[in-house]
This record gives sequence, C-alpha cells and structure tokens, in this order.
Amino acid sequence: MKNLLFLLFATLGAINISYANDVNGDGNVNINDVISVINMVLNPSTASAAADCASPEGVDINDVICIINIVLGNGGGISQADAARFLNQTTFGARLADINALSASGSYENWLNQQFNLPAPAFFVDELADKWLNTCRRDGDNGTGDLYTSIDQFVDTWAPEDLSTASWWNAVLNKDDQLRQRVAFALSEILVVSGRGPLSDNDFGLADYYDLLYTNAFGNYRDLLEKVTLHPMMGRYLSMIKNEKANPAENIRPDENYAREILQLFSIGVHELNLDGTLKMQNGQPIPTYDQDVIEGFAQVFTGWNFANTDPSVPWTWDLWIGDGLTRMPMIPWEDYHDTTEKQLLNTTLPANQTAQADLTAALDNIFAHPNIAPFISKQLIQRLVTSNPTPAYVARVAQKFNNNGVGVKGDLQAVVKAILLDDEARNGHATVPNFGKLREPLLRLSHLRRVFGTEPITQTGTFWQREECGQGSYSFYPMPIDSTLSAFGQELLEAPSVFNFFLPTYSPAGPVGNAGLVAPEFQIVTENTMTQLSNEIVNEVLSQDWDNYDYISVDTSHEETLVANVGPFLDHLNLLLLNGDMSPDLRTLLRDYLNNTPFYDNDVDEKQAYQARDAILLILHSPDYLIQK
Amino acid sequence: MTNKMNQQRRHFLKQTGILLGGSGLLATQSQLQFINSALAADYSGLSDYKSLVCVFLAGGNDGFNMFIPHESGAYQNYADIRQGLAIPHAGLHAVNNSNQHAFHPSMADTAQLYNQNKLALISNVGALYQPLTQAQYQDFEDGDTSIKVPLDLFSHNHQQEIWQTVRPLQVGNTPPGWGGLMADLLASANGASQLPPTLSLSGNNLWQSGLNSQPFKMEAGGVSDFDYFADGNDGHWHPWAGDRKNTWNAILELSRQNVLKQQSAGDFLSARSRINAIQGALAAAPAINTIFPDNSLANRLKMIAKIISIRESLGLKRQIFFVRYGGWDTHGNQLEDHATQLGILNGALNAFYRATVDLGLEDSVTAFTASDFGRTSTSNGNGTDHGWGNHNLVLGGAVAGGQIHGTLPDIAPGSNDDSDDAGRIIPTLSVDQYGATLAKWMGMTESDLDVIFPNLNAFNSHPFGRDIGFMA
Repeated sequence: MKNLLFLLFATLGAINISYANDVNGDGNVNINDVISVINMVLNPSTASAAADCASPEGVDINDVICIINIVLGNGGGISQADAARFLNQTTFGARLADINALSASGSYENWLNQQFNLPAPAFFVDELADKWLNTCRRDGDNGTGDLYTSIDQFVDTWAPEDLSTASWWNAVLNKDDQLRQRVAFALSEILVVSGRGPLSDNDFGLADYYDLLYTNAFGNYRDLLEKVTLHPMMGRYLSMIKNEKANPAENIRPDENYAREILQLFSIGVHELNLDGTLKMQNGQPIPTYDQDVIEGFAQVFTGWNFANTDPSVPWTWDLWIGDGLTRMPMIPWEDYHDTTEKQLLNTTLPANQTAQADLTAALDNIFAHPNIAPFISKQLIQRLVTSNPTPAYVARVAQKFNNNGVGVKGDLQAVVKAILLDDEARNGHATVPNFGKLREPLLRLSHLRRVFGTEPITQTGTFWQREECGQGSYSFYPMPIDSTLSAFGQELLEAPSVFNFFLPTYSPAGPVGNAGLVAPEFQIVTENTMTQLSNEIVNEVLSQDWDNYDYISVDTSHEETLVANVGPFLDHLNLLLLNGDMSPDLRTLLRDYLNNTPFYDNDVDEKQAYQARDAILLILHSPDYLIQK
Repeated sequence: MTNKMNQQRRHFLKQTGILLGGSGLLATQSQLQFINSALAADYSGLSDYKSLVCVFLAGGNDGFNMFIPHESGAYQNYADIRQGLAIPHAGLHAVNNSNQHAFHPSMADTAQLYNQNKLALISNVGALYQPLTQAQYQDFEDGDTSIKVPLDLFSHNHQQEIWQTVRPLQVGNTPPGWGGLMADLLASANGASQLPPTLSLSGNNLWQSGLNSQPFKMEAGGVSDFDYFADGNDGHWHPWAGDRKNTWNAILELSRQNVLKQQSAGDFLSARSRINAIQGALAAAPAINTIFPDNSLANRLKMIAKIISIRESLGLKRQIFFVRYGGWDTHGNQLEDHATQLGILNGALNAFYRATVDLGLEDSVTAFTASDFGRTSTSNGNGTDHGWGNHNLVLGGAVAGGQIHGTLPDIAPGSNDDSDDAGRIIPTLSVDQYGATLAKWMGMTESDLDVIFPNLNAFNSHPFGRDIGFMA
C-alpha cells in the first residue's frame, strides 16, 4: 500500500513537472522551443540548462514532453528539482511529499505567503517546560518532595541541556512553520548568544531568547534589535546588564562590550559598504564605520539597565546576585546608574540629560539609519539561506528591499526574506552563477537527513524525548546525539564558541575557494575531527534502522530499499531527494556501476537491497555534490 | 639540491602560481618576494629536532594583571591605576628574589619556571607595522597616511588575524599566517612525511594557514577515521568494503567546476591520507607519564607532547603546533574569572614543560603565548575592555629565561605610552619581532624572515632590533 501511494505521488510529481522555460530565448514559449529541446536531445553537447524542464539530469525525452505540455497549456507548475531546491533553502530539509505539493501548486509565492501567515506562538520555553515537568521533577532535594505542577516553580533555573535540544529538534523536524524556524536559526547565527560562557545553566533564558528570534523572524529588524538588546541573556552575554556610568575617581568608564559588538556584528560592521555589500575604498583602504570615540559614546548609552526583578526604588537591588535575576523578562532602566552626559554616536551626538530609554531609542535609531545595515544584514541572511557568494547585484536587490519594503518601511524582514528567496539568483543561480551554493552546515546536514527519510516516531511527548515511569529518582532518556555536538561536529544550537558564531561570514578557506577570492563560511568548522565524527554519525543513523532503541537516532530507508532493484528510477529518486536533481552523469555512472557490480550479500535479497540502498545514500551524502547545496 | 627538493620547489611554485593566477588581488609584493626567496631557501639539511607551540589566549588576556610590579612604590602606583581591579600584594609571587616584579597569585609554577630561567616575559608586544610613538599615533589618527598602523584596532577577530598573519586581511583573500609560511618552507626538513609540519588542536586558524600547507586538525583525544569507508574494521566490515571505499574515492576525484565542491573534495581526500599517516603511530605511542591537570587546555597540550614523542615514527624534524584557549575577554567579573584562567594556563604550561623534560626534549621545544590584544588599564566597573600592547610568555629550555625582554610601559591612563586616556597601551615591540625571534630559532634564514614577517624591516634599527634576543 505504502509503495502504491508512493508511486502515485511520484507520478503526480512527474505530471506536474512543467515549469515554463523559454529555451531558445526569443521571448516566447512555443513550438520553436519544443524543436530546440528535441535538437538538444539529439545533440547533447548543445544542451542548455534552460531546456531542463522535467527530468533532473541532462536533457532527454522527459524534457521534450514537459515543454510540449507547457506549449499546449497543460503545465506551468514548478519542476520537482526546482521545488526541492527551493525547499532546501527554506526548510530544514525538503521532503518528497512537500516537493510534490509545491511542484503541483506551481507557486513559490503562495508557499511563502502561507508560511508567513502561520501563527507563531513562542514554542521553545513551553516545550522545554513541558518536558521538564514530565521528568517527574520534585520539590526539595533528592526527589523526595511533591511533584512540581507548574513551570513557575522552576522556570528560571537550569534545565537539562538535552531536553532543551530535544525541544528544538522536535520543532525543526516536525513543525509546519519551517521557514520561520529556518530564519530564526539563521538569526541565531547573527545575533549570537551562547550557553558556552557566562550563560551556561540558563536553558530557560536561552530558550526564551530563541523564542524572541522566532516570533520576530518576519518582523522588523529595528524592533528585533531593541528586543535583543534588552533581553537579559544578551545583557549578561555581552555584559551590558549592570553597566554603570563613569566614575573617574576610580578609573572606571562604561563597559564597551555590547557597544562594540552591536555595531560590529549585529548591524553595520567595521567598514563602510556600498548597497551591494562591496567595500567602499579610499586610498586603497577600507573606510572604518566608527572610531573609538563612537564606541565610547554607545558604551555610555548602554548604561543603567538591570534585571526586571530589581527595583530602582530599592537601591540595594541593583546588586542583585546575577544568578537570581529573571532570565525571561526584558531588562529595566535605573536612571541613577545611567550616563547622562552628551554622547558621540555615528555622525551625530546625543544631547545630555536624557533617560536611559530615550538614549537607547535614539542610539538604536542612529544605528538603524546607517546605510550599512541593509547590505550587512541582507548579505548574511542570503549566505545563511542560499549561497556563500551572492553577486553584488543580488545583494543590492535584497538590500533595497531592506531599505524599503515597497510601502516605505525599512527593516521589514518578511519582505527581505521574500526578496532573498524569489530572486532570480536564488531560483536559477545554480545554473547561471559560477560557484553558486553553500556548504551544508552540520546541523542542517543532520536535519535534512532526518527529515527526508524520517526518524523513529517517539510519540509520548514528541520526537527525541520520552519519559520513564514516574517513580522516585526517575529521569528522562532520549536518543543521542542531539546534545553536546559542538566538539564532535563543530556546531550545536546556541552553543557557539563566542559571539563570532561557529564561523565568520568572511571566512575564506585556503585552497580552491581562497584562490578564487571567494568565501565559504561553513568551512571554518571543517576539520579532520568534525568530518570524521559527522560521517560516523550519519552512517550510524542510516545503517542502524533500529526504532526500538532510543539511545540513538535512526532514519527510515525502507522505501528506498524497495526501489533499488530498478537502478535507474532509484537513482532518479535519490537525485531529487538529495541533490536537487543536479546529479552529474559521472556521479550517476559511478553509483550505477557500484550498485550493479559490487558483491553485496546476495543470498538474501532483502539484505542485499538494504545495503545497496543504504550504501548509495551514504555515498551521495559523502559527495561534494551533496555537501555543497546548490 | 636533491631531486626531491626540486620537485617540491616546482610544486611550491605551481601552487603559488595558481594562487596568483586565480586572484590578481594576491599579487602583492610580499607574495612575490616569497616566491623569490623560496628559490633560495633550503632546509632539507636540518638534522636536529625543534618544535614551536603557540598557545593563543583568545579574547585578550590582561597581561598587565598577569605580571605585576612588586616593589612597594611601584606596586602602589600600579594599585592606584588599577583601583578595584588591582591584585592584592599579599598573594603575588615575586620573581628572582629581586622583589621588583611578580606573577599573579594563580601563577606559582610560572614564577618558579621564571626563576629557573626557563620562562621569559616579553613586555608590551602588539600589532604594529612600524615603530610607533604616541605623537605618531596621534598624527595617524589625524589622518597622516605616511604612518602605518594596523586597521580595526580593538576588534577581536581583526586583531587575532593581525597577530596570526602580520598582514592586512582582504575580504575573500585569506593571507597566509606566519606559522603556515614557516611550515611551507620547513616542509623540506621533514622529508617524505605525509603530515605537514603544522598540527592544530583547535581547528582551523590563520596562523597555521600556509600557501601550500594546511595544518592537520585533531582533538585532545586523538582523531577518528571515516569508519564506513575504511577497508574494513569491527564496526562495518563487509566483504565489499574495499569497493565502497574505492567508489567514494572515485566520486571525490571527479572533476568539478564549482570551487566549493573542489574545496570539499580536497578536504576529504587530504583528511583520508593524513589520518592514515598519523593513526598507526599514535596507537603505538607510549603513554605520557607526566601528570597534567584535567582541563581542555592541559589535555590538548598533553596530546601535543604525545605527538612530539612520536616525531621519529612520523618522520618530522620541525613541527609547529597551535592550541587556542578562550575565556580571556574579561569585560565582567574579571578578578575571579581572570584568576581562574591564569591558574589553568599556569598548570597547563608547567605540565607541558615537565613533559618535554621527561621526553628529554626541553631544549628543543619552545612554547609561547599570544592573544588578541592587551586590555585597558582602566576599569569598566568589574572588568576591562579591549586594549593593544600586552605581555606574553615564552617557555622552554632554549629560552633566555628569568628576564624581562622589552621595556615595561607606563600603564597609567593618559601616560606617554597610552594611545588615548583609557590605558590602551601602544606596543613597544611588534608581533613581527616576536615571531621572527621564534622563527629564527626554528632555523629560518634572515631573508626568509623578511618574507614571513613583512614589517620586520621597519624594525631593523629598533632598540631591540630584528631579534629581541629571548632565545638563547
């Protein structure tokens, strides 16, 4: 039954492959384009990407049928390959059913609008609290007290990090609001806080910070910047919380930490940029966006903020122990500790004698008005979602949307995300822009694998978590590894080594990428260690196929095992699922030969097909053609 | 010159030629010089063993609270400047019985190594392109373009890049690091070894990034392998494992247009051969018996000691190690956090030195610290912000230890050594001089030093010259 359903889906998908292309470039799609495609089939050396209407690899009879359908007015949808490409930029992994649905719907824009309109209640803190309550948490020491009944009883304390990670994995693998999740994840790599450092043991606060990125992912960047600035996790991470005005008698001046990083990393960067993201130069040198005086001015701005559970009318509470501060409520101003002198900002000064909030508002407006913010943030979002080296023209088009969403609003992230994803370069750059694409980062490799094939359905309280019977001293257990992946894989949610993220947007690895003068940020965490450990994890998830063992994650390749006997369609299937239809003829030949010529166990057909299917999948997952998402 | 050397030179030129052909931006004077000097340099005759270990204190160590005036008048002056962040006199470890200077209370072993002349203090080193007076820095700030000062002072990543490369960074063009350039040249000393001279315990880093050599990156626990693509092992032994491995190899070696794909394929191929080269030797290595503290810095230095112990089976005469240890960006809670950090550094360096003694190699291994920048001598309440010049440590039997090399600056805010009024001290020794002194000990010729350290010439007539003199 399952197979029949699949065949039905696959067939439906095939019928819907009919994205209109003007093959001969004359401005019309008509019988002449059909002739062009036929000529390319007869003479493959003349084939162009524009003719690749249907079948994922090369130009063949399917493309002829596809273009005929378009000319006859039967089509107009999105090819499966193009749908897969789009969904791998917008979700945590393009699943076949989603590819076929998008392909059939024929509209990227409708898909985006549907995503934009999904409700977005904060989820992370609630999931974490729910799980934590379900671990039979008891009041008192040693699990002897009453069972906790409300998250308020412990919500500002530590929670097991693995429960936190499980909550996130459950969301990104299973929730429908994939685009919002994906943009929130991208923002978490720009507006970085990390549990590594002063925020260790603040799992609820960190979950709340992530919820902030998630609920504001399609909001306005100016609002987001203020909410991030006042979040107590950011306050602690970059030491703005409890930052005080100067005391010259004791050689004390305001802390410059947040002032420097909000400018350098969260908004405008250190050098002046053109709208297209390229550096402005003067006498052959980049032009600094600010000097030390400006840093000191912003440091003065960011004085006089403390935890929400302090009280400016009760002076001693300024010194509330940091471990007792509320981790999920915005910081509040204390005017007595705020620097009220005049402040040097970017190309302007702030007048003296303003309140902490008035200074903060004016300072963030000042940052937001800087022409760098549009290209600086737009380019990084393009890099997180689409490609490491967008052309300057692409950056400029998106930055323009950042500056004006069409109705005069600056910083509208929904408009920016839409501009990024509907841009011709995002949709067709794989065929038209040299060196297009990006290295899949470790968490996206794992999420893609787990979504595409599906993981074991643990249903009690959601994927990746299950509680034991609620006896005394009981505890939760969960499959590994979803936690502690930083040293093994180089990446772990909200656990970057520093505010500089896991990798810099400007990282240029020595070798082919560096020699070409290009960047490839994700390569910064590629080492002999992370390469091998990630490989071994992926192999285990594909090979184990053991859904009864909750100690580790396994994916389900049983469907692929039913297809492998028919090598051609099997490789077509993997081509779509893992390579966005971009499998090269050379790679196809190597895989086909491997499947046909290798002495797998052949006394047991099921076992043979299992290894054939899994080996083919693993070989693709270990190929540069998969790792570089185009 | 041997045939092998000729081959390596051709390979080297080819690589560099590709670099220049691939990106005109890289055709800078220094790279061109480097090619020329590569034709003249020959390190294949080196017969002794030496290694250099960079301990990078990421975040910016407050060196002026690591090494502190001890004599009462000078201490009082220090305490008046540092106010709430001053380290109490009582716990300091005075050095050399001279009562003049002391190490932080967390650094008893460090003080002892200093007293035993195994460790030296290099005073007020920092990123400079030329010797720089306060007046010159002010002229530079006022727009005098004849004065060269590194860009983006006080920014973590930019100053880490300057420390590790001593070259201005251009977006999309990774400059080679000075450890990597040394490795490019010294590879000839290592004969046919599959492994590069550079080995990192902290992942990718600019310091070890060469023009034609990249570091091997491993963990304190060693390095794992691609289990499923080995010829066969306990976990995944199949009769067809060899076919699988060969198919993967063929996939990686397919020719591809996209440079990101080329990069990815190259990473896999080089990882496979290099893991192969090190794993056997590592498995056969005797345990390091020296007792190390159990923390991530010490664990990684212990692995470095282990790799040094198998230098002969790896066929290596020159090695260049890198370990990064973070947590030094003490904007808040400095007194407590910095004491913890220095304690970890103290214990790890001490254990590492003792391990080199146990291996009988203390004169052949030199460890040194580096950091983004020093910190402000003024306080932000309970921490410090980003500074410039900084104290650093050099450790080993070949070090002219028990001494301060360089001049101690006046760290008072607004002093003649301050870049402005917050105690961001203008360096009086440059990273080029610091690195060149270490590189010369490793055997680099003077002409190669000029290539590796493009600003070194500017310090030829500096009071401390090209060679600061801390290597005996």
